[in-house]
Amino acid sequence: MADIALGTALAAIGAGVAIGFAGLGSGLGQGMAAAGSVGAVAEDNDMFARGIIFSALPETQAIYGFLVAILLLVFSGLLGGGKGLPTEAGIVAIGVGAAIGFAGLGSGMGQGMAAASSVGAIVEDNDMFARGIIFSALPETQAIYGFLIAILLMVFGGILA
Amino acid sequence: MDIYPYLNPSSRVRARKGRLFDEKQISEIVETNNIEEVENYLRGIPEYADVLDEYPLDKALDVERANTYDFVARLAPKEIKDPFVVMSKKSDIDNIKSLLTAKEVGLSADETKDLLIPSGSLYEDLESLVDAENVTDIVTSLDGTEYAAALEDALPQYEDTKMILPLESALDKYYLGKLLRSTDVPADENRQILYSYVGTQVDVANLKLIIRAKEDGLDYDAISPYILEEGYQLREWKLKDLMESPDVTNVVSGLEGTKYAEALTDAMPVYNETGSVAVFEKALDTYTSEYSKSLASKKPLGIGPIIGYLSQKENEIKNLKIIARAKREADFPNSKIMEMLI
Repeated sequence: MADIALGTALAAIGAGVAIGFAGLGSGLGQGMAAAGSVGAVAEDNDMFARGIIFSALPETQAIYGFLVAILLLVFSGLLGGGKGLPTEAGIVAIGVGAAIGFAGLGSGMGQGMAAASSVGAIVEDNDMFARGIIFSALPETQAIYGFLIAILLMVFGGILA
Repeated sequence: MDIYPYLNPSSRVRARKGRLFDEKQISEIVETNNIEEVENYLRGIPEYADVLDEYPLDKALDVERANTYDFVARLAPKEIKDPFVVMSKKSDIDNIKSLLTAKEVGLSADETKDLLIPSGSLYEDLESLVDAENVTDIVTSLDGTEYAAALEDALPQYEDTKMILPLESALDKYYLGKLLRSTDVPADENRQILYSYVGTQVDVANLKLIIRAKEDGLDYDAISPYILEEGYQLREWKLKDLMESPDVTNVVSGLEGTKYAEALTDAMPVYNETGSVAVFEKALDTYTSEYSKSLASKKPLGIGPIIGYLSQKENEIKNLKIIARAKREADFPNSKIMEMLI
């Protein structure tokens, strides 16, 4: 087995939490939006493009989680062969993963519900498209907060230094 | 996670709800000059065009209503499916009633066949009964179906009176009882809303029957066999009180404290003026429609859109039937039609 510093191993946990929970939220949200969209397309073929847009919205949380996880893996030395992280920085990395992971979980689920509801509103009334996008975009903010804090923790916690 | 099974059905019913007629379109249909123009207008709407290609207007509307129940029963999530399946069997009951009526008035086999709605699990069996000799033959031929017990219980009354009313009422009572029992375990919010929706329909059916019976001067013993005692908000003791009321006015005042009181009390002045209980029936239909609308907004990612669509589609078909009936009468004023709509 490779010789891995404790800090690096903790960062690996952080990376797992980041993509694991963000991906969970994103997947659940996307499932909700896609289920609503399929129903809409079954009744109205013209809803396909708009259904895709709303189903794609909850993808962003998984992208944030994936990006943070990659950064943690690279800067902890797990990928790229650096010298590894000190234990204190490794603990910070768990906080990094938790920040984007849990924010992404809540944000993804919320966005999925809003997107599914918006698809229903649009297929009932075409004029609801712009308003549906605005309401569906609102739960994105929680993921952005989580992503921002994750980056700040990496910068000032000695990981991206 | 409980919203997952509702997401697809919600979008599907909302798509159809978006295609229902709005007030402007209903006004345009009312403004048409005759029944042919009503039909032409409906041929421009895909849902109605399909059924109008095959059937005359009234039958097409019945078929469209049956299709709507089938559609909702098919897509409703498992936990709320039962009552919608019961509703989808309403066309069987309507077909049995049509057969009974046809035999009572002596219609020919072809005329009887025209009355049947080509929908429901018993359609083919019922179609083969158009040649039955008489009402008793029809009832005995239905042995083995779920309606047999209810009909056979009412058969002696038919044979005494030679009126099919007891048989029709037995079918209605069976339907309402089954509908109410299919929702009587309101385990979660979706099922609670469904129970309120179905229960209100049962109460309204009971109330309409009591009001009409009181208008005809019937007493408790004459009305009670046709009433479903298990009501929703109007329980057995309350229904008994209402059935024992001396007249329609007392029935309405006896409803004080229930959710139906306001709608019926508001209709009282018009009843006093016209003497027609139709105003109470319209008030109850309007109340049911408004109540269903309020239920529909309660669970937007649950049962709400399904109830909203079903209730509005039922109203649309009822309104189209009202318009069609009025357009068949010469010089029926459009303003009067608008008043009659739900």
